[in-house]
Amino acid sequence: MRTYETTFIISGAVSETNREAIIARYEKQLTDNGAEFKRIARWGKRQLAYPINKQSRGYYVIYYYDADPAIINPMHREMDLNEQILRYMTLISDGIHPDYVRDEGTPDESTTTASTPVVEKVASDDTVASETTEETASDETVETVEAAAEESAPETTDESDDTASEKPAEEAAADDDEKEVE
Amino acid sequence: MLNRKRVKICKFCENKDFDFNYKNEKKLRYFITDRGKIIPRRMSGTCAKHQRKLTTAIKRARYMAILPFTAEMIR
Repeated sequence: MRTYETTFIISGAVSETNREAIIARYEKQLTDNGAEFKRIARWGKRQLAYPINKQSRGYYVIYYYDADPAIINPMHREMDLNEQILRYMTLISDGIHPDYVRDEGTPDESTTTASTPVVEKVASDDTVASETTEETASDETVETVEAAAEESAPETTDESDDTASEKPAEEAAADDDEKEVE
Repeated sequence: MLNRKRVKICKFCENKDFDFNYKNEKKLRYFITDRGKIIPRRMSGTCAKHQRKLTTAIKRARYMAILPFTAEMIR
């Protein structure tokens, strides 16, 4: 038995009831196979750093559990088949760090999903203050971000031209390693 | 040139509390450029050991859409 953490992203388009069903489903699959749950952290709906499957928002859930390594791959297979799960990642947990185990207000989730993001802002305010403003007025902030990026672009490109040739190879190699671990 | 010579001390060796975790979004954001690139060692002065940890954390965060791969992808 080891302690693992599985983070996964449920598509933002999924309704609340379906989402809860998904969360419960994998939890059940794990417990049926002898996993002991320690904690489920729900980050709630978040702006994705880039769109995945044309979704710009996703619901982050983290399972913390003790389990035998053999039961994790079957879960991953199920997750692969589920199109509503955008991403998942299982790692050996280095402890349930309080900074990352934040919950959106679990009981009043219905209001969060049904109504505007403004309600949600209250829930996730402490976590990513700057992000939440982005969520509410995404169009505006995106523009500013772009402007900032364009300003700094010439500098960065000058600097990094010489590294560009080295980097991709390194990155690819590192990525391969990672996949094996996961 | 002058700047590069001065920055020699690894921040992480000095401050051992840093958590190299992909969920540590706020802190990891300091180590990418506004275009989303990982800041190289020669600019940040990070030692090899900590740069490795940092890179894995950033790459994991990228995969989980916590950090961007590139600035364009923000759109």
